[in-house]
Amino acid sequence: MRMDEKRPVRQALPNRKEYYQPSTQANRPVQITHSTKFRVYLQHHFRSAKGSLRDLLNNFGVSSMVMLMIAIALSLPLAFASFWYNSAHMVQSWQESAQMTLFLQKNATAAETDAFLKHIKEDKRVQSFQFHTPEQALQQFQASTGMQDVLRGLPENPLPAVVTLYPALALSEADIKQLLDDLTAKPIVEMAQLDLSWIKRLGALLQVVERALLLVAVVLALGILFVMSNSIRLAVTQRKDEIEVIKLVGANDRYVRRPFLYLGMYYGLGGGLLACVGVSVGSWWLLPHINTLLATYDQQATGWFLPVPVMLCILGGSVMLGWISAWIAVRQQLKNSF
Amino acid sequence: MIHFDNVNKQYTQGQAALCDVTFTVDKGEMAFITGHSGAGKSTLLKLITAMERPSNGDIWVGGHQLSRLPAHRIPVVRRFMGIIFQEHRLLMDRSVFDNVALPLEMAGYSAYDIARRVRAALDKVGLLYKEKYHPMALSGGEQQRVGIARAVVNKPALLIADEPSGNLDADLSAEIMSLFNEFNRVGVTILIATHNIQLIQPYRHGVLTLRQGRLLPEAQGVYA
Repeated sequence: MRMDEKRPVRQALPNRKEYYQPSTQANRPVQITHSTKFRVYLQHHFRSAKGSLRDLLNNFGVSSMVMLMIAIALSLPLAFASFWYNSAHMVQSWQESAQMTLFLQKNATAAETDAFLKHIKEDKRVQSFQFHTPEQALQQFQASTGMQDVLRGLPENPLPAVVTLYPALALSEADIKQLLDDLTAKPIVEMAQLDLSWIKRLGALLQVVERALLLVAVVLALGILFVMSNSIRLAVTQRKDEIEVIKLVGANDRYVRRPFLYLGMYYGLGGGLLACVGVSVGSWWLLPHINTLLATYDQQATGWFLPVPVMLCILGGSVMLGWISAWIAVRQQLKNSF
Repeated sequence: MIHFDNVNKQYTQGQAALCDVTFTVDKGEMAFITGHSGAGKSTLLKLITAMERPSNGDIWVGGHQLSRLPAHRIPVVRRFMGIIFQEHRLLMDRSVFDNVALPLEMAGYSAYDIARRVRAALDKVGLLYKEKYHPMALSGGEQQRVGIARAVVNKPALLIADEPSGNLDADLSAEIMSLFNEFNRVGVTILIATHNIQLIQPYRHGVLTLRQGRLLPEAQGVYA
């Protein structure tokens, strides 16, 4: 040992290799090959996975709360997604059945009307139609408005005969327009109306909902990130001393991080599974009531459950969220310890 | 092995912990750092183990320039030194064997080599028969010896000890010192920080004396 001695450091110190020569010769030198390194690496993965699972089960009270929190945060966008998925499907089926209303000339004879109806029946572009005589139309109008007295006071029935017509499902919008023009050109047809505007409106509304849903999902994902990284930070602080010791005997950051990453992924997986189960149970409970409602629109929700790919996406997403939040939580601690 | 070149360390609060420290510990040497508490012993060890970085000056440990070492290389440096703490710092939820095996696990040894090395290290400190115990069940001296086994299991070229006999009685301290001497005899460089001058006196090793963050010239050290 020497003190207060200036010397050119680079030349004077032996090179690195010399320092790494084994200092004792008692045992045979150990060869660390890449394959043993990889095996040990896998082993640590396995050990971290197992250890984190054990930790999770040991603190089941806390971890189940965390998972429940994640599940609640996830199930809201998931329920929306399920609603959206099904309603988008339904809107499409509605769109396909655009409705056309033809008002016939008031002075058309019965023979002319029959000929026209026959003509429509033979047209391939028409899927189905309903014919309402002026009397039926009046009855319906009376029933729906409740203005019997006023209508009874009229000298004659002011309503024309009406044909409600559904174009074939395969028709495009342009084809439907073409059909409309063709029918309007018939002398017997006084006026034709194509009711597409409300469907367009519904479609626009659904797009707004879709966007809003995405926004809500992103905000909730951020919320989940904070909740999870906070609870993982708790686990990290509990093992602060251990992390310090492990780092001082030569662990790198990845080694320290690994068990916590597994913990995060378990939280994510548990939360995602709970959310999927919750939404499925909720929709199972709602399904009969929704179908009652939909029956009034001649619709039926066959499977309200989430399709498997969507579920897998949700699970994968929540596991990834867990991983990210664990990474954030450990980063903080790694920065603060040496 | 260790070279300090005009090292200063100032904590953010303002007080200077180390002031213009320059010294060299050669390979295979055994040296002591003494001084009253607050003299800067712990800071010096923290700088060597890269727990802190110097405010200015150069530190070389084992051919690595610590003052310029990127953070991700720090584990590499630590793997070639063994660190013994005053309060032993064992992991209480693992067995003695697993505690000692820790540095080998990180270095990527196979299970066979780990078992062989761990048993050899435990045998050296005389605790082979307690490998399955938990550190909780051991006495203070035994815990300290497990800490030493953990530090030497990787056959480090450099051994750093912070008050290794801090809470131990004289007999146990002497026992631990003789262990260190044994390691030194097979070529390990050892640096021990202690305020216990009685511990040093039997040995004719180099002594660095710190007073208020400065190294005293050898003539004014404990032997003066």
